[in-house]
Amino acid sequence: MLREIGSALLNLAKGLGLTFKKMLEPKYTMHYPEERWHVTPAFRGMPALLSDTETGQLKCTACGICERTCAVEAIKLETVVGEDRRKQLTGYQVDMARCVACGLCAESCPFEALTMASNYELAGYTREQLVYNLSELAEIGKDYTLNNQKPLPQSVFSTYFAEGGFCYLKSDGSKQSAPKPRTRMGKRGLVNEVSQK
Amino acid sequence: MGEQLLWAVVKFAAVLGFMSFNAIFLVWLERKVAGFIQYRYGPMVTGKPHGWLQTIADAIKLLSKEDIIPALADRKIFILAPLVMIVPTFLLHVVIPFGPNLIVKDLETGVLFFFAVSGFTTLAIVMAGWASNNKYSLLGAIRAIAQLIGYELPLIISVVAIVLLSGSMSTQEIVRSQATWPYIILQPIGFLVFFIAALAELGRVPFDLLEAESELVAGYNTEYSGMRWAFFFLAEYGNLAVMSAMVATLFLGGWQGPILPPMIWFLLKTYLVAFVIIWIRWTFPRVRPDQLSKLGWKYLLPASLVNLALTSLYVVII
Repeated sequence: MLREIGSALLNLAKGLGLTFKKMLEPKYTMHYPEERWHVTPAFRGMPALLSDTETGQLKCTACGICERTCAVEAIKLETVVGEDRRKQLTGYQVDMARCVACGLCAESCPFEALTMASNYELAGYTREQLVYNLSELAEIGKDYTLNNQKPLPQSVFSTYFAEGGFCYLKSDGSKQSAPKPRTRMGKRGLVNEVSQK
Repeated sequence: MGEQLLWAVVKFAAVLGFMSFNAIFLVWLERKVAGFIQYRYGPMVTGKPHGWLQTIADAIKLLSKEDIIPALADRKIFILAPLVMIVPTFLLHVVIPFGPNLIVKDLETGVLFFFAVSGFTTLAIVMAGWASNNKYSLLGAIRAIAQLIGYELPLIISVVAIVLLSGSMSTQEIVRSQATWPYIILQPIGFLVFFIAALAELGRVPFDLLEAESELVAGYNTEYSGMRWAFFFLAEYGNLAVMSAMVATLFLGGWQGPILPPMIWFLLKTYLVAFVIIWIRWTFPRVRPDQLSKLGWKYLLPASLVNLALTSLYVVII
């Protein structure tokens, strides 16, 4: 019985040693808002309207395909028929409270006038704040011009590997790669990486 | 007469200050250690270097909460229970030796006083559980009583062995008699039994059935909100500090140490013990109630009696 007690105490001490070691290891905390996630170009944030770099006009032709494609009816268009019997865009509204950032609108736009911007800090104090209109969307879209072309949403994996995986920006602008996952696929399922090098 | 009164006021203020400081510091330490063990930092924002103002912010928040007393609760007992919890904690600081001359009152039965007064925790929990008029609170309180009563005996018997070795129940005398060897070396079994029983008396993991029930279903302090709950919380951390101080006094040699001033040694030892207790909390899982009772009555009590017997033999023969 004494041996049982002894081995029990030894195992307790081993457990304590493990947690003590964990205290000394680097931490996974990201000090938001000084450090933020650096998203890949294919990240789907909120929709934004692109403008043509030469003329400065929006590339949108008010065809309405995005409005019809949107699965949650977050996009609302207002058009008026001009003198040349073409539709002109008078109002464009994206309700971010409904938008799920699926990217179908950007995928379906035949003129590549809509793209998924990279900003993910979309909270607001009122519901009215969450409804983005034409000028706001165009303003956000100005960061994404032809020279800084965002690829279509389906190539997310190519950019993931090109960028070296997910990483976040530290406060001095340098990139900090996200910690390596602590599990790997062993022979019979997920294995925890407990031993440290 | 006037001078004595002045000294009394000074000591009262000192104890109050120490207790408040402990509450703030130990809660912060617990959250930091918990964070560090869990691959994260603890509080970092309130109070720029490592969030040291976090506890004060929490206390201010608790002060501004609504005071709810259940309609069918026993009002007088409900209101008295947090006081019964916190006033003995305050009293326990009387016999702690901070330094060779720094003790509020060097009672000759200091150790007896300590363990007698620390038994009031049980009473406070019963009062809280009963007065809440909530069957889950009552059950939680009953289980808490079973735990606290079961571990009082091993706690006290392991201290009796120390009293035998040092020849006095006064805490200052016990510290002074450890000049050659601290009792942790002379009484390893006693230390182990005392430490485990102290963890159970404090209601800390792995024996935190009192608290865990609060997280899961209910516990003796479910119906308490705002400052009343804060009293229980402060009393828990006050008890932690006082019990760590007692471990340091009884087993680690109190304020003795080579170079630094005695009070620094004492505080170092106390907070080292508190750190170990917090470290234990975030390492081990919780025991079942039957494992708890079994450990207390079938293992710790015989171990403490064996320890006492061996110590008595040693004292008589040598």
